[in-house]
Amino acid sequence: MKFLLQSLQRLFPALAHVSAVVLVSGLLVFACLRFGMPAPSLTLLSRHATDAEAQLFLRTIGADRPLLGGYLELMRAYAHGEFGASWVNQLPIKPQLLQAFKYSVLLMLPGIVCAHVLALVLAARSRGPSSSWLSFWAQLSVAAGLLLSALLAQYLLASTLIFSQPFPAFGLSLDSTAHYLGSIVTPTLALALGLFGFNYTIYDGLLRSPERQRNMLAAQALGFGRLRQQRAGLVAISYPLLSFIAGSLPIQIVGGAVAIEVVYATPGLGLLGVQACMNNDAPMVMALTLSAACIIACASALIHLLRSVFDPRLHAQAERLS
Amino acid sequence: MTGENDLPRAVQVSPNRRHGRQVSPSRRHDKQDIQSQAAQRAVDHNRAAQAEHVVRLHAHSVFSFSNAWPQWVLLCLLLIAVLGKLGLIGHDWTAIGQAGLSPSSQHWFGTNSLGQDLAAHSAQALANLLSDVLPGAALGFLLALGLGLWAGFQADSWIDRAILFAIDTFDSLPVMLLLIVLASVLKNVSLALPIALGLLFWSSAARAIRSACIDTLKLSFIDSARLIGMGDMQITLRQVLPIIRPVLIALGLVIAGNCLRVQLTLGFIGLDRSAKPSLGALLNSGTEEALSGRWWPLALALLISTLVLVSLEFMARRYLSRNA
Repeated sequence: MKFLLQSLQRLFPALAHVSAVVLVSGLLVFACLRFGMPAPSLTLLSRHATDAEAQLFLRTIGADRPLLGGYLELMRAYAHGEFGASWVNQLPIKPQLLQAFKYSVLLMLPGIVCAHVLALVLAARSRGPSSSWLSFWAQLSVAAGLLLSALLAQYLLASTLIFSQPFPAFGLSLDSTAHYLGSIVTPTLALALGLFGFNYTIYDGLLRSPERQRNMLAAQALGFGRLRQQRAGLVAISYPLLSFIAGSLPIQIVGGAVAIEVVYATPGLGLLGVQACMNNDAPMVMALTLSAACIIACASALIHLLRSVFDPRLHAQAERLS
Repeated sequence: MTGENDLPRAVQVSPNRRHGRQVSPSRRHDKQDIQSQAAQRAVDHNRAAQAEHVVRLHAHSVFSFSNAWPQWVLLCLLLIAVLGKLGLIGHDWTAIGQAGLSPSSQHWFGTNSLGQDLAAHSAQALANLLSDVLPGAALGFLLALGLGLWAGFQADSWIDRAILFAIDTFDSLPVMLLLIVLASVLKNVSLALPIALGLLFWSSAARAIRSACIDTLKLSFIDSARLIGMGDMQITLRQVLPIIRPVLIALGLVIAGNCLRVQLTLGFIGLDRSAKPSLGALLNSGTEEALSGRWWPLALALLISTLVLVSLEFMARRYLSRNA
């Protein structure tokens, strides 16, 4: 019961955090769109629209109200699930967003999973002199970031295809091979290259943490087998490990979508956002930014909640207090 | 605040006088001597401990040539950028010659599809990168420094909690999407992008500065500094900042690297002020040219971008490891 109350106590700051993130990012974008973008009547109705038509249009989309009033009204509409229609193709925004999110997850997930598995395996095995080389490559990957990794992966695979052409020997024409590599393998490789460094740094730090070593030594002293020693070590780092995986997945999907989808011109959240910005599609930009902020903030709130379940220090503190 | 419990005031108002007892002048003189000696010892301890800490931090010179290549690479690129900014290098980047030339003695890095010299083009791109990234990184760093130190000094108070809440909020913003929106909407405002970069990249650095400040305030010579009557501002300027200097340099470099990465992405998409040459635009045009078999523009843009980012990252890691 006390544990449940403690979890509920943690729920309120998490909800406050989600609301703050969504409200701050929404207000920032709303203010920029309101004051920075060309007049929506010019964008949509062309320069030949009469003043009366322009005024009617501004009233319809709510651009004639004061900033804060307009913003609150928009947030109320979003809270009821009404995202409106795109200014460019006049289609409802919600299905377009869901479709783009699905494409982004399908494109990003293999690469992100590859980066996590690769980093975890190498961090677990990195003992002795090879670990300095691994940390060097990890630093290189962190420094280069996703855009340069994506370009490098594209360049490497393109040059492999152009200069050695290994795939026609397996009955594939160059066109279909290039298409397949371009759409699936290259983004996965780029993500694995770009995210490996960051993930490796975190996993290496966790696996070398004194808490894990202490638990494993205690298990060894109690005469437990190797598997139970590993399990005891894992218990010590379960909270940071889970919170890192849970927190990094949405951030890496949303953050990686921009660089990867723009480089490979694949549909998804990133490309949708860039095209909406280029076309002055204000409702789409607003809905997209708020959705992305909501996804990331929910992941962050999940970490807060996971802490109340998995962090042994909190349990100990609760027992002491009781 | 313990800093207000300063020694000179304690010397002026002795405990015996406070209780209203009369003390002979010679005995009072002895007590004052003892207290001034204690104050002197506190000053000496403060200076010696701080000096020892600083010497330990700066034991190895950062600019020794062995194993210090990131600094030298960064200095060379900075020199090229400054010379480009002054118009001494690459001022003729708009001059058009024969298109698609490979690297030669006349054109060190070849020419692009428009016939522009790539060496001049990249020198100007570096110069523009410097002027685009530096204001944003400086703003972000100053914000992080001010808020991080404030939160560190007010640890566990409501101010600290409010700053931590702001840090958590800014850490969870979809930065790349927001910057794309800001860059496309405010493209006619000259300083909008650097200000946006600064406003969105301060949070992680502020958290690190707060922790470093809290750790430093636990050191023994800070107590002796408070004992000799130093206020918070003096302690910050004369005691805390010299100790956390490596962390500050590392965080400044990390912020600059983040701003640079965003600038490259925006340039690649075509959302920066693209009338001027930029490394992102060079990467974009290089990708298109690589498809037609001309590999050198993309290789050059990749090389320069990677060199700058890697040098910043490695230098930041070195400063952080020295502090650890």
